[in-house]
Amino acid sequence: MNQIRHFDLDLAELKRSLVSMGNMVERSLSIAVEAIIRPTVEAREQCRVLEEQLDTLETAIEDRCHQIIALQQPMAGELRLVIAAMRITSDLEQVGDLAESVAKRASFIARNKGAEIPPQIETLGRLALGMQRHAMEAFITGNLNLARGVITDEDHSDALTKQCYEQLQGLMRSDPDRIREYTHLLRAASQLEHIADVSVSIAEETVYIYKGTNIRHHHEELTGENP
Amino acid sequence: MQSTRVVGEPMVWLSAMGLGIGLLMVAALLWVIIANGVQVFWPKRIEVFTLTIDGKEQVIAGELVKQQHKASSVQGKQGAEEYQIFTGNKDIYGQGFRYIDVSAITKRTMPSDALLVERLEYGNAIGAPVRLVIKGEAPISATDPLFRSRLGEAITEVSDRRDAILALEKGQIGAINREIASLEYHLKAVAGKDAADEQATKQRIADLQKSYDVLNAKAKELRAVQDDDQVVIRPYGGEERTVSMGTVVSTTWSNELSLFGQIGAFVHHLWSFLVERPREANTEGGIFPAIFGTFVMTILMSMAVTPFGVVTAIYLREYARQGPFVRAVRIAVNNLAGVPSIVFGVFGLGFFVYIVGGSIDSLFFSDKLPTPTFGTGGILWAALTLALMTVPVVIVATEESIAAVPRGAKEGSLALGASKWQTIQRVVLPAAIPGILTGLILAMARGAGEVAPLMLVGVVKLAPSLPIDGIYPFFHLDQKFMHLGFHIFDLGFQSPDSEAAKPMVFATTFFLIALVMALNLGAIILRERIRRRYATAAF
Amino acid sequence: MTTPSNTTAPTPLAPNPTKPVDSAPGYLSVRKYNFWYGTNQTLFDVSLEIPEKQVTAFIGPSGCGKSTLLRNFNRMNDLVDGIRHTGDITMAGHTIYDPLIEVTSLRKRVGMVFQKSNPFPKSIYENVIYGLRVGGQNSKADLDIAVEKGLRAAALWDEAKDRLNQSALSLSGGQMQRLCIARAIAVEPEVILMDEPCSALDPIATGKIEELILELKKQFTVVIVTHNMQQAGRCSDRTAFFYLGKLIEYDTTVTIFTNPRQKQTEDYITGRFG
Repeated sequence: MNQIRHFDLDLAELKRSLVSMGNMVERSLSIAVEAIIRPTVEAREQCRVLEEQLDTLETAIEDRCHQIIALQQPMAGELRLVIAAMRITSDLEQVGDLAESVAKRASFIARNKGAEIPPQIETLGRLALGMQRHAMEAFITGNLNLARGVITDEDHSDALTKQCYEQLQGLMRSDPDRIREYTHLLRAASQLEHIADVSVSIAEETVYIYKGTNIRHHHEELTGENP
Repeated sequence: MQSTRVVGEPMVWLSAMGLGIGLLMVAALLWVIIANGVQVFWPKRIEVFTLTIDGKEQVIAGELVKQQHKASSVQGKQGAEEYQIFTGNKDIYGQGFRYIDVSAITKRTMPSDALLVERLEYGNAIGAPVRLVIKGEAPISATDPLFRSRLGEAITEVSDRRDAILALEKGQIGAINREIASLEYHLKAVAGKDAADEQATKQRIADLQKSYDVLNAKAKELRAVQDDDQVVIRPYGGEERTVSMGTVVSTTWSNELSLFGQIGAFVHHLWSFLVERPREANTEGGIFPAIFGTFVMTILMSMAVTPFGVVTAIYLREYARQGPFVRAVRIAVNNLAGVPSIVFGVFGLGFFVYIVGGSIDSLFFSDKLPTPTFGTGGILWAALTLALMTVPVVIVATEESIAAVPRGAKEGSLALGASKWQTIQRVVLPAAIPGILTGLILAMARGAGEVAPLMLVGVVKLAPSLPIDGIYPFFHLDQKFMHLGFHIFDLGFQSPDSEAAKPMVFATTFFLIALVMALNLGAIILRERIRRRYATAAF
Repeated sequence: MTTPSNTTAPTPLAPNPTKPVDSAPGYLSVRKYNFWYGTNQTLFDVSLEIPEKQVTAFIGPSGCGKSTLLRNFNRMNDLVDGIRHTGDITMAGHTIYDPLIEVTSLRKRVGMVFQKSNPFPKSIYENVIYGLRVGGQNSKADLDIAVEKGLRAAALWDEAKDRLNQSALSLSGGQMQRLCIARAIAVEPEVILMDEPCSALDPIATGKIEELILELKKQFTVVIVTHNMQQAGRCSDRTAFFYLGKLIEYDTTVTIFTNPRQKQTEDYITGRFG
């Protein structure tokens, strides 16, 4: 009765593609985060190459989802998976974009030495990377506790970003010659926070896939606390 | 209040009544036949009536067969009751049945030693046994305790010897006769051409003639021995008569039979009716040759009609282009079913017997001419004539059952690369077999019952031998044969002793019906078996 | 630009399937085909190429000619009186109307499964090998092998292997249709035609047969007529949309279902008519 259908193979392949896209994004983000902590010049090129591949993958996964909906009329859990897949692939592409941008800023800072990098940036970067990893792991395994963790981490990332801003504003006042570097760092911090937000979005998609509820603006349904 | 009566219910009752009346009529018919026919075999008591007519006393003894009301020939006067008595002893009285007025009976007894002797000639003898005379021994009186056992032994001896004579005459002498006959034909063929062959043949004929004479003498001797012993009986109201043991078939003490004995006698009579040959111009003996002849002819007819009808139906339905010509053929075939059967008899006579039979004779049996072999009526021509008569039924039934095979089955077969004939052979025909068998059943029922055409193409009142026997070539399709239907006609209308024949008519009718029913039942069982195997549930 | 060595290529998905159908000659080729039943024309100037070892679906409203065209591929319409055609149908380059070739040999290369399953009233074994027997093969060893092969290919072996000698009519409806497929496969055709094979079956049985079709295309060219569009979407690689005897659009199934070129096709797919 429960034999594997050709359609089951198609869905499994879709999931695999998302996972592999997620791995690529994680790699890119990891490079970017390391670069922003200890700026290097190569990071930019590495992330750019990955970003190209990510763009191709996103288009392919999107088209595949369209095809599955048109031809197979998935229902219930399978429908949620396909719809969520379309959003997750867009989210991942966004993360890749942001990572590339962070890497670009890192390489600028690397070329113009001397800027002081506030330690909160490292914390923020690692947090963002962690949230991204956990969100993808929650997607793969269906571990909703992990997803809940990612969602609650959003507050932490917000706080860290605020601290980064204050620190950088202080540094800008004290070292006005390096305002360009610090502006880049400001933007990088902002982008890392954005990455964290997108990870939360991925976590929300995951909850939608596995629980069927859309908690996008109702986090209390999952976490049991007011946002 | 709305009507609670179901609309149309009277029609249901009407149809049920119609069915009921039909069944009643069939049952009544069967009952009349059975009642009249079966009573022939039930052993009746022998009664001795003493009548007083015009002051004179008369003794009549026999079996009470029928009681009827004789209408008075004088107007106004009431009619009288009378009994029909089977007196037997046709050699004495000239007839076997007598009518007596009930009112004239003064005494009526049932002697316990009344003996019914079944004989080869002149029918049964009824009387009181007197004594048994065995050659070389002292006569045994009827009162002697050894009488009965000795009588039984004598009967067995005589019966065995009768079988031996038959074997001798039919078997050995018959074989010699046939060989002599064929040698004489051979002689005719080589006369004047081959002197050595001629001589050898003539010698052989002479040798055979000698053996023939020897065997003939032996047979004559045996026949003479049959008359050595006699039994003396005295018919009631008559003189002593001597009956040669050679003519005795069996003896029955009718009045001593218990119910068990009567049943035994009944079964015995029934059995010998079925397996013996007829005697006394078909009024006595059995009807076995007629049963066998009817059976063989029906089988031959079925063998002829089935392939012919099925092939024609296949062509009409599957191969012929459905146009006005095919429709005309169908109409013609259907009309064929309405042609009177005697017309078929005439056609069979003209075509099969004279044209085809005559040609076969001139081609293969020219040495026997002018004695016709196939150029005269025979079982083969009779079977073919009836086959022609019943072929419309088979064609129609086959066509209908072929048409009923669902299109899906035929398309499925063709789609797999089968040719049209392969489809017919493997899918259509097997599925149509139940319908074909229905047609065959109808054909057999019609064919077995027709008599008129047979009279022209091969049925006889008394046939010397069976169409299938142990003599080479075993199947004698050119021989004339006996038929139950014709037997009934012959008994009923052409019998010298119509009173004796009446019960035989009913008995024969009963067995004709039984034979046709048995044939039909066989075909129905076959059809059910096949139907179960090919149960079409999902087409 | 070079791919960095520490990145690995992603798992490839199906290539972008919205390229238009090429006009390379197909295994079954229909060229300017017109068809009449008596005086009634049912196909108008139809041309299409059916590729080998793929599933091609014919869709369209009732009476649009899709079944007619399908039945002409194995010349089953020859059974009807008064038919006429112009144009040609070729298989592997050779016309199917060659007067020198027996129709029966065409039908051995082009098998058919019908809408209402029609197993013969024989045993399962005899049903599967019917086509081989009429073709003259009677060696028991060969037939045994063919029976197992056919039933396995039709996903019926496990259910039927212990009842090969029972009547085929004792199977359920879905099993009977798979038996008919096994029967068609046993003859080892090149093409299998299916005329609405699932329309008489329940959804579970239908699902099994659709799975079977996806397997069959590895070995056979499959052409399926269906009035259930979703079935065409699930099973087929290419889809042809017919309307009133004309071929309206013929393209890859993805294109037909996501971005058809003709308005009529779009109307039919979205259910606005038919």
